[in-house]
Amino acid sequence: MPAIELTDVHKRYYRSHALRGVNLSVDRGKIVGLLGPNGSGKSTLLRICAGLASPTSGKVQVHGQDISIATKAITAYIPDIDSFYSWMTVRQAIAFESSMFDDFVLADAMDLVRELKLDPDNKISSLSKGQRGRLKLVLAMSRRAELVLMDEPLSGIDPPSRTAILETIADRYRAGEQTIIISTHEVLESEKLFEDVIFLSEGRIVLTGEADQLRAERGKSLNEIFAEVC
Amino acid sequence: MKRWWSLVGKEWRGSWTVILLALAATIGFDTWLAIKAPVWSARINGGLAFGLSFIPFVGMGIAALVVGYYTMRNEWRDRTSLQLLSYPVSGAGILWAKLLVAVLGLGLITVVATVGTWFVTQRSSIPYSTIMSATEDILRLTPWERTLDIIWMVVCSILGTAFIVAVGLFSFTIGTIVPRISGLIAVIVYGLTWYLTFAFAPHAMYAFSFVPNPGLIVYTGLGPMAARKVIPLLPFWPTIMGTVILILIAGKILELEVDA
Repeated sequence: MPAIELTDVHKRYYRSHALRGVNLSVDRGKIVGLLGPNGSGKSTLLRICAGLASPTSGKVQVHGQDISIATKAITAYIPDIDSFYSWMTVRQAIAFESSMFDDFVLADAMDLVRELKLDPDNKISSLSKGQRGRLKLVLAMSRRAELVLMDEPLSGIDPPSRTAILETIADRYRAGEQTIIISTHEVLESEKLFEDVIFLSEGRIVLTGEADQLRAERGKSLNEIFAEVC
Repeated sequence: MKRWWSLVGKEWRGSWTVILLALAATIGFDTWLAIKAPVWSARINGGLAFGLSFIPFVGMGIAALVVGYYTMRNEWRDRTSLQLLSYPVSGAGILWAKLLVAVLGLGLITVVATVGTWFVTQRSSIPYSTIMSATEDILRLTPWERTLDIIWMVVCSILGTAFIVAVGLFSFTIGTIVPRISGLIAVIVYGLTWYLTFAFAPHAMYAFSFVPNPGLIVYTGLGPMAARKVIPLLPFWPTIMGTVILILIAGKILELEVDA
């Protein structure tokens, strides 16, 4: 059973088409890069999979189930924007997240907070963009979630934080058990993480495949293939 | 259920500063009235401070009308809706948590305002005969009748507040279906819901008059001719039904249609 299966998924916002007949099957237990330029439909696709938007038409399944409370329980979603309650402290945000998900491991969260150099007693409103990016990662990677959806986790983040984020994903990823889908248009830095890649352009999937195979077949890096197909 | 209580806790922590400010304002205002009451009683009339002490209740009424709408709007404005709706909790669960905290907050402020009004009354020189004539009917009730009446009145106030808050929550949620004109849709739905409420309230009350309703015990007439009467609280069941229906529909929309 695939981690995610989309069948002829369309998403329209008034006159604009965010997704145009997307058919996709993502295998379980891999790190998948969802690559495409701004406005290609990456965020919409991830939001639909996270249950935060509904497709205009088509079918979406996560682990063989239609999107529901049950699929939300096994999905960790990191949005591209800050969606924290800014009045909370880092510690309160972790405690709140822990109370919402049975698979949240508090000890892991506190380890990650130390690793990523966050002060648990800092208010979220006082955190920098890089620190908030790291906090998002703490909340997602402290769970034993079967599916992790990361929407532009590196966007607008300073270089040291970007490195820390990528290292944490690589270290904490539970190969074979967990599926991580990372959407980005900044391919160069993150391409070594991806096992599979999906290239999205103007709401359509233009290329999918195993990262190593695509590199070998085309004799190019993913970044170069991205520039070519998107 | 653990998740739901956690949501309630989050709502409470997120709104306690506003509640605290409202409490401070109410206490401050009633204290000022209590200080002024003896002076005004001597110069103008005894009822002025007492009358002004009802201003916080008017504030509570206005707050109840808008709190449901704003508590949802804030989630969308701050983009926290992305986080909130990604949790494995039903849409109705999210709305019930917001409703409970809104009613608790308004209730707490109302209790303080009631104590304030009582305090102002004590400090005002309202003639004894005025108090007696105003409370004559109440004094005729036996203690248990009075207690029962108070309980039902408090329950009905809570239910009424819950319904008003639910209309706000419902209106905003419907508006989010069309994000570009969500505000306009919400205002139209809000007006329409109230129009339908008033238009169909008599029908609903008639329909529910055939089921057991709680009642207020009163005495009519004077002296030996006084008759004990129970006035059925006909809005009781329609208010509960209305609140539940609004929350369930809005909850379903949150789960199925909303773009967070």
